[in-house]
Amino acid sequence: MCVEKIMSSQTFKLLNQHTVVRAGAGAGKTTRLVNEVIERAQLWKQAYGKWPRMVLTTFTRKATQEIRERLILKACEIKDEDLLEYLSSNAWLQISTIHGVMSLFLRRYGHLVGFDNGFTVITEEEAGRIARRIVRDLAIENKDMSELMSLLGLKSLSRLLRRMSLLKLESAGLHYVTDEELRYYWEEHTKTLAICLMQVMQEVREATDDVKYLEFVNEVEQCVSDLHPPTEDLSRQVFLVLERLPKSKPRYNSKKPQLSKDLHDKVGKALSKFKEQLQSPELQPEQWKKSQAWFQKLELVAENFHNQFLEQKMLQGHFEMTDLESITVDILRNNEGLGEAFASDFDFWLIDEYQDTSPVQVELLDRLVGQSPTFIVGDPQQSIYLFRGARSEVFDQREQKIQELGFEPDVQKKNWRSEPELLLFFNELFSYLPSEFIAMDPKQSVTNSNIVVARFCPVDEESYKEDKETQLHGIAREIQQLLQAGAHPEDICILGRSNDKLFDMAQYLRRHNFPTHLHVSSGFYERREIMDAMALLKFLVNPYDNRNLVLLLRSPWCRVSDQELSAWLYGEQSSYWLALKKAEDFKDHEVIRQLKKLEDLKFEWGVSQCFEQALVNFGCIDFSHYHDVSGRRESNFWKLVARLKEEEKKPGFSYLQFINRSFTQMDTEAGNEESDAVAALEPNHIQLMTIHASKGLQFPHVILPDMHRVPPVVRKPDISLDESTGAWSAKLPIGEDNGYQHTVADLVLRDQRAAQETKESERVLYVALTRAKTSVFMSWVNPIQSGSWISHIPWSFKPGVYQREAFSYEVLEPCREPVFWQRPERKVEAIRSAWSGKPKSERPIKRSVTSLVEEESSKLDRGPASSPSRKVPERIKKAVEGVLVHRMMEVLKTDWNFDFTKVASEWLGGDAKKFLTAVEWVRSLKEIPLKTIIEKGEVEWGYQQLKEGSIIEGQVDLWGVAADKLWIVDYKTGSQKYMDQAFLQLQIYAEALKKYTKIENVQLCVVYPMDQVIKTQSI
Amino acid sequence: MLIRHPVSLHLDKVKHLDTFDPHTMTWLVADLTSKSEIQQHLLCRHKVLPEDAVLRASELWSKVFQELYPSWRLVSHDFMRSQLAEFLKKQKHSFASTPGAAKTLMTYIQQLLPILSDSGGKENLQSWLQENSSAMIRWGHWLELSQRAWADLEEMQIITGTWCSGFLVNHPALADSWSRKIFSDLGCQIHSVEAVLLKQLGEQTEVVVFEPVNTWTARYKKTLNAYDLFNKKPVTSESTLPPLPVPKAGQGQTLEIHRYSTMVAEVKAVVAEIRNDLDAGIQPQDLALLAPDIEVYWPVLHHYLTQEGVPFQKNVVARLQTFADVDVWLARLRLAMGKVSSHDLERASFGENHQLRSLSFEKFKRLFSIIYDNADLGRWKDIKNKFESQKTESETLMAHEFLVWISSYWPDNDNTERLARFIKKIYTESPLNISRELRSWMDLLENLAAKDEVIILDGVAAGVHCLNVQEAAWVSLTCRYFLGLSADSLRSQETTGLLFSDVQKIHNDLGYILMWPDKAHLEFEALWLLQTKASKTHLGFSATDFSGNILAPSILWLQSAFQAGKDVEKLSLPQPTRWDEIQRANAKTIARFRLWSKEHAQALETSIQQDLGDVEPLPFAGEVPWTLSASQLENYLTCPFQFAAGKIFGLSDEPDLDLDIDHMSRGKMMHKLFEWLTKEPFRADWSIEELKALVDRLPEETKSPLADNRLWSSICNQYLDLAQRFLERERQFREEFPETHTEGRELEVAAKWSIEKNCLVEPHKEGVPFRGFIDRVDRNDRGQVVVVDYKSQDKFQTNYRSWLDNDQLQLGLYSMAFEKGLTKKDPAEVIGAFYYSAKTLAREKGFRMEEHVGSLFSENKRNRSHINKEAKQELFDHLNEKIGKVVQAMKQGFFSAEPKDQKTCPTCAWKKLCRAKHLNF
Repeated sequence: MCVEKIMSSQTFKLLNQHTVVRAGAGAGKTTRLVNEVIERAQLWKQAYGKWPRMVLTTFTRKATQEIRERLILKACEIKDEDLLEYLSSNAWLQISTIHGVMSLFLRRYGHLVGFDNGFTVITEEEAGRIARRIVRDLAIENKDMSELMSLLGLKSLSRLLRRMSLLKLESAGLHYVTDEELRYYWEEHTKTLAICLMQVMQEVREATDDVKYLEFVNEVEQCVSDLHPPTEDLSRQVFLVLERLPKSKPRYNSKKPQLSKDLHDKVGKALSKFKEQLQSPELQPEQWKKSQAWFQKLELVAENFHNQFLEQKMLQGHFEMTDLESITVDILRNNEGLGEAFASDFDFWLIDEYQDTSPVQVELLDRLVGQSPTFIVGDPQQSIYLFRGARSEVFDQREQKIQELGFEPDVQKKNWRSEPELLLFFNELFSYLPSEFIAMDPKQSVTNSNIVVARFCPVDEESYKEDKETQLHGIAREIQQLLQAGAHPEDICILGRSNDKLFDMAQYLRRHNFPTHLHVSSGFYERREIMDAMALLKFLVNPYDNRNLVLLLRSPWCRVSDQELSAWLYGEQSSYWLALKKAEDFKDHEVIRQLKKLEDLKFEWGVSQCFEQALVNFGCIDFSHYHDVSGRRESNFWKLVARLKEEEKKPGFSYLQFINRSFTQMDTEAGNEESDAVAALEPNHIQLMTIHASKGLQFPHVILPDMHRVPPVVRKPDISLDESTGAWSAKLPIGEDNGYQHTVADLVLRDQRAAQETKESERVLYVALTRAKTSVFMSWVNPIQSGSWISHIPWSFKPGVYQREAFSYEVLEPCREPVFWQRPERKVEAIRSAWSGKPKSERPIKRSVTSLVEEESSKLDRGPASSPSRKVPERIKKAVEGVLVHRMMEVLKTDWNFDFTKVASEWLGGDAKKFLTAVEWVRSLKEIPLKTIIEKGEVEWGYQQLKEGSIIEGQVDLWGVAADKLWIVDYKTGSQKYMDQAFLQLQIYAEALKKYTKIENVQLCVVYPMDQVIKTQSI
Repeated sequence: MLIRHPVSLHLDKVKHLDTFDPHTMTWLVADLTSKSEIQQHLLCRHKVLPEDAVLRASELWSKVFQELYPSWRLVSHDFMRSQLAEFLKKQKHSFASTPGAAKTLMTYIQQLLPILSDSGGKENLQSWLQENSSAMIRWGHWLELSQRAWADLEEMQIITGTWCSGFLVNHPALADSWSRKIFSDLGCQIHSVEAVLLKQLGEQTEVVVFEPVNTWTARYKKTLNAYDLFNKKPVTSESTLPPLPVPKAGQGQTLEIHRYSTMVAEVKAVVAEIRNDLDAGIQPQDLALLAPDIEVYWPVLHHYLTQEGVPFQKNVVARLQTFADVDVWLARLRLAMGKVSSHDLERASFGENHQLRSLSFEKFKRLFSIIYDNADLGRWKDIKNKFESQKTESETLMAHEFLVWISSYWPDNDNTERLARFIKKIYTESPLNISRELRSWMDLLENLAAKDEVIILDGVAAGVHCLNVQEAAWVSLTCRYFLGLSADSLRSQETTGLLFSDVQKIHNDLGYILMWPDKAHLEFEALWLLQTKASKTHLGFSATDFSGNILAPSILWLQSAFQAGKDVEKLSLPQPTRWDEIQRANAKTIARFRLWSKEHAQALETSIQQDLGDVEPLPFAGEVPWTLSASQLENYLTCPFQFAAGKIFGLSDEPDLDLDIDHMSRGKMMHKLFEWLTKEPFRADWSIEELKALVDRLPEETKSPLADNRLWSSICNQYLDLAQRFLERERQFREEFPETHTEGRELEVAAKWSIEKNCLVEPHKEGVPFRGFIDRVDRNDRGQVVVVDYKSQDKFQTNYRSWLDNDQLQLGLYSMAFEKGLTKKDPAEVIGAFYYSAKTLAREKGFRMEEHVGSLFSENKRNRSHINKEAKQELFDHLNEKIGKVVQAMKQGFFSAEPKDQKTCPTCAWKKLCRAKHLNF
């Protein structure tokens, strides 16, 4: 097809189309993505005769792997081998997380801006250490830094500076908040305050026509209106408003009330609050000046710090995960050509979960994607990663952008996941939430509106006071009923907002015999089994650590009771280990004996092997099932072992560093360092996970506790940033009584953030509930908090079954008694014995000539050929001589007259002369035809010989045939007292060489060049 | 003459071994296992076999190279890398100094060597890059560095084994360098450059190239592209790819395809299967466990095999750096070259069989857990003397100087075997005349320590094979178990910016053939192996690795499963191994199997039950003669185990010294400062200089070492400011209450707690010793006193009404003690007891007797601190009752981890040590 034709064809249009798909929960987003990749690739191939180079980014590694698998499976179904090959080729189809894409960019182009292509991602802790060191050095030299350190302390200051460093990279036009901006924030904030007060005043106006109240309201409104527009002198303006505001509200007449008591009180509170807030330090311009003076210092110091911090990271090739984004965007901003170069490496981009993208990531993607067509899919209703910088609005903006380009956004509303009745329940429930959620279409029409798809279990205040676990009893009862109705434990998932709550719940369920599996993405190193195992490892490295020893001894594996331990250790001042080893009373204690054995074994086996053996011998694995039937503990032990093995391959590895995890490298894609390993026997357990972790998953039954709680309100951060202007403000301890002082910018930005979080909280509920396929269960404790999830639902929550048009729901009585699950009996099965068969056929065992000689020598009681206890300087000297002599012979083979002067002096210094004399002696040897042997023979000749079921491996220094004789020569630099062994060695060589050369006339020869001695033997 | 010999199956090659003459022929292989298998095969007939009979390709090229370039020195990969790192340090590019640069440069040189070592290569490639701008951006800088580095290396005449082939392609007389007939059995691991070399050797000697050709091999064009170079005519590409040859079970054969949740499950499954095979009479050596990287599985696999009693051929090894003496030695060396770290310092100070005499580990930990550089060693004299570096990383040393230096730090002079290993390695690898920076030598040493292995347990020669897939071609098998068939393990990612398209274009435009590491050769190898029939084939894939990282199945596994009609998402549960049976047994049975005593097993089981909270821990240490203090009692009430950790197990909870002063030291310094400033007669007129001098004495007087003395000027300002504010506050206070006379500062309370009377009594009486220090006692003209407790944080300051609920005993206890005359001061009525906030300098919270307002304190109506005599007595009675209960509980040995508030557990200093059931999930 000619180019013109392609350019004008429909195919071309399709191939260059930008698509944005808004796909609600359960709408088959992954299927759509998979189809899009395949269709797009096939179309491209058709048009251009080659496959496109595509990038598909997803939010998690899990999603990445799932899509990969789905793609290949689809290609298998289509039976298109070319497509199959294409989809499994990383070079053509890059499927990774956004961090993976950044990694690829940095590895390809990073070096052009001084970035280490082989960079490593370090932990926050390690980065913190680098930062603190820089701050320390700067504080010693720099007055401003020293002053700031004095104010904040080094740790807080370095944390603040790290944050600023990150902002510097991410935010264009970063600056501390100006007077003008502060005035703007002041206006914004006071407007908000005024509105709150005016709302109350409006309520009064609507509730009464009492003249006094109305006059009061008028007066207040008049005063408040004087706050705006702001004048030059804000303090005075506030002062005047406060002065003029009524000092008190009208008196409440209980006999003849003109207003309800509640509203009357509300008026008073609102007025007091307004006055108080108006006088708060954050709103005082004179305080801003003080803050700004510090900000100026901070800005200067931060610049200095930023440069050094970045330089250090660049130099060491160590970066934090957050750096990947910020540094990449910074590089791309300053080097447009690189973005273009990278963009030209690919033809098409697919971006999944776009709603969880941050503005920085959007910019980054825009620059990396360039002009390539894109396929973007996501659901702004499921944007729940605000804390990681995600902004749900980016999706709408993208939709708008492609509309401007003339493309229509696509909306997928059909939900394939949930049963229709349940889905319609969701639609109704979400319609009560303040945010607008798009209703989804059921996969089929409703068949039975009697089906109870949702159960609510409110716990009244009294029941809760009586028993704090009432809510948990209710959950357990629900699980019990589901299981009794035939659900499998793994069909049930309890979703929580935080790990803590899940942890409590898992504990409760475990105590009541329910099989549970708690999925947490952190805390691996805080798991009991890992702490115990680490204590064992630490003991092997440093037994003098008393605290660690106590930890180890208290573990079940050492099983020293506290009674014993307290008796052993009381009053002991020095190293507990030394004391325990020496003390008569317990040096023979079984545990101490075992630990002592380990101390010896580690010299023989190395620390790691010894550690692994100890895990086995101490019964850690044997009892892991007893400890935890889910199998998680065993998997965690192996995760630790595998990690240790992986780490110890690295040069510079240190056990203590591993134990302290002071330098943990991370994988840009995986990041599973902190999570549990997966159990080998995972199924058949009730799942517990956070709502965030459940994204992309589905379960027949979802349980959602604590519906009455409002997520904790965001605190004022250390540093606030206005993303639209780049203005920042920080809290500093410069207030009264050394308290922290904020500016009005902090208040406004905090309120903005709080509003974002409130909206996100509703989306979190959306995500949580839409995981369910068949039923949901929600529980809470009264009184409910205002703004909590359940507070939005205007239904009656009196016990009973309620039927709506398309579904039914049930409100349950609280469960006041604990509920237990029948724990399955522990099966005691027979244990097979270890396999004790003997291999029928033997494979030959390899043995070295050296080991044979040693064995023979020991039979003759001649002692080893080399002394293991030889002192270090002697060893070096002998090693140098040995190496040099062998090198000499090799060189002589190619150049008999080689000049060794330079080499010898460099290596041997003062001893060079001796070596040169040895060389000359060798060259002038008359006893044997050495020159001929070397020239015609073999130097450093390796061989194998099969003898009596063994393969003997040897390396002959020199052999050759001269005058019909087979000469076998060995060079020695050691003591001549081991000459017998040398000839023994030569005899073994001779036996092989006779067979190989078929020459029987053999002459053995041991040469001591440094001693100028030669000994021969005939066979 | 070069003869191409297509082989569609492994068996096609075997027959050539029958006519193979080891005297005159060389069989060329790609890996050690194949080499060993062929050697064994040949030894059966020839009894003695010269090394040259069977060689790996890299060995052949090294031999040829040494023959042709005798003056050059072959160095190890590690040596070369550290040499390049040294070279890069001197380069102007900023990325050149980064740690990963040397590794990347090595790969580039290896790939570009056919051009670099060609006389006109530089110019040719430069002009090519001008026309190929995207390649220029991607690797233009690396080319520049490669050229410069290669020029240096040429001058030094050093090369590494893996580069020899790239260098040899430009040698004009290569064909004369090898006279043995060659059988090239490199399969898909042949590189294009090697194909060129074999072609050249074929001009003089006979070269038989076994070329893998099968119905499906056209699918792996890139993998096998080296074979195209043997063709005279260009190969035309087929329009569609042939299908993947997924395995199918023939007659009498079984094919099992499994997906497991994790690698642990996979290990269990294959071990259980192997056990079944052995029980069925199959010989161990006819079984193989094959993985793309068997080392990934080995740490777990070998334990499971051992527990099952299955013999295996693979050795269990330990890297040199895992040996304690080497670990300590390397730590010492790093310190000696000025590379200071806390972990090295600990290792060197508390190494094998020795510890610092002058410093306990606890003290060491406090001082050196957080260090930043050499200057921090000064925190302890002995440490500084012992470990302050004498050398710098940039100091230049000759090889023997380096060896002498490292030898002087070897920790065990009586056992130098492992040291000798290092010395030998370095001597044999280093060129004679080289001098380099200490950091480069250390880099080399650390690499050797990380790579060199020692055999711990010899494999059993006739045991089960445990191999990488590319090593198994020559192993004859009945049953084979493929593990870890994930996408990433069978296809790797690109390593440099030099793309396959660049390599092809350079070949087409300039005629150079460059090496390009293939990404799919492991997949090819696995498929190739699967062409050979076996009675049982098991294809395994784990959905997660040992760490829990999610994996995707490879195309091989997925298509095999798909075609076998298997539900690809369904997880297989492993059959139990013997070890699983042990794990599922009860404690008694486990003990019997492990030959443990019954008591041992019982104790272990009980301990676990305690951990799980199923069994209550027993009381302990009830009779330990401890001394009480107010803070310890409070500690006990916070959590009994906290008390036990410090007082019974004798452990220290002092925080680690860092650049910021820790809360304990801050508290001590604040107390000391206030103690000094309230000395009678009170002075409010301290000059700045006087205060500065006072503040400067704080660290020493309070025994609060500073992490870095240079920061004191910043820190002391805080105390100077505090001192000034405190003095001003005191001045005002004394103006308001002129009767104030600070009678006691850090006033000692010496008493006993009488269990019988349930109160504090004189020290000579019967009871539990009690000791404490009252921060401050102010007395008025009437002899009445106020007890003051300084607090650095406001959150612990409450009025007396909350003391019992909050377990705050201190002020009440001290008030009682003072009134009872248990201090060295005259007893008097305590009319007030206050917390004194170091932050706000307020002394409001506590109690104040209403009737004495005005002498030592003012009235505060909003404050709920007012008390009368009766209420005070009631408070004292309740406090005594509470303390009495605590002492009773202590006496009964109740020291379990039962915190008052579980929310405090995550930040508790003892959280690792404590085995509270709620933390033990």
